[in-house]
Amino acid sequence: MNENEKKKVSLLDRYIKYWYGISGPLDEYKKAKIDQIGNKAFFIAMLTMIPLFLISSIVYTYLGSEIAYYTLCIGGFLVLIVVSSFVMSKTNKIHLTDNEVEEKDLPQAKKAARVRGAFSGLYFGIAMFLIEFVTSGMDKKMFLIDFICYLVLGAIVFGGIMAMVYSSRIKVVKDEEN
Amino acid sequence: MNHVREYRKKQHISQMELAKRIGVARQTINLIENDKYNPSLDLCLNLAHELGTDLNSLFWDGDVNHE
Repeated sequence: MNENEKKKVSLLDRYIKYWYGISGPLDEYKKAKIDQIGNKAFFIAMLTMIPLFLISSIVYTYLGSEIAYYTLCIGGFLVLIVVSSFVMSKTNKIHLTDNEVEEKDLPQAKKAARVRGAFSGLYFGIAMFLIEFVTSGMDKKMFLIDFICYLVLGAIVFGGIMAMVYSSRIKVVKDEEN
Repeated sequence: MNHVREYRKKQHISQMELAKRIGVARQTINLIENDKYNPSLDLCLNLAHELGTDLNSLFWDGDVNHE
């Protein structure tokens, strides 16, 4: 194991790698590109959130708190979609999310992608359960068999999609690739 | 144009192998070799060390084969 492998990856770096979908080392080039993309994403988020808050305030004044609440929630969700789409398109364009492996490591990489997808599905299921718990209280319906079934189905579908996404990022590198 | 590719080929190592030794992505080595990314001084020094040469020979204009 060389010095670089021994170097501990900080929690923040792991978090950044996870959210940007980066595989392999988070080297200086990737960090620089992430910083650029992140800065632009921040400004897009800020420029969309400010009008959203203004609109919500106006809606609250004239149409009441309930509609203002829904405006804020839906608007916030849309901002999230816009920013996420921007980040995804930029990272895909410069191949930041490519998981480059050698031919001999391909089966292992595919298996790792499936496992990662499965865990994503599991976390999704748990998150959905907790969100339902927080937003609707400790309701009997949460333990009904059909609710649990929908949750499990959702987790499986999400996990399957994520496994496909992770697999699609795997790129086999030949000995001399230019 | 730098001479990273020439020195790497002299050592008979792939981009992936060099990247693993230095602790960067293969993509970064490819970008450096194609002059599409200017590495930091630290990375330049690591490259020079791994390729058994000095910064001058690696990044300055000149004939690689004169050594």
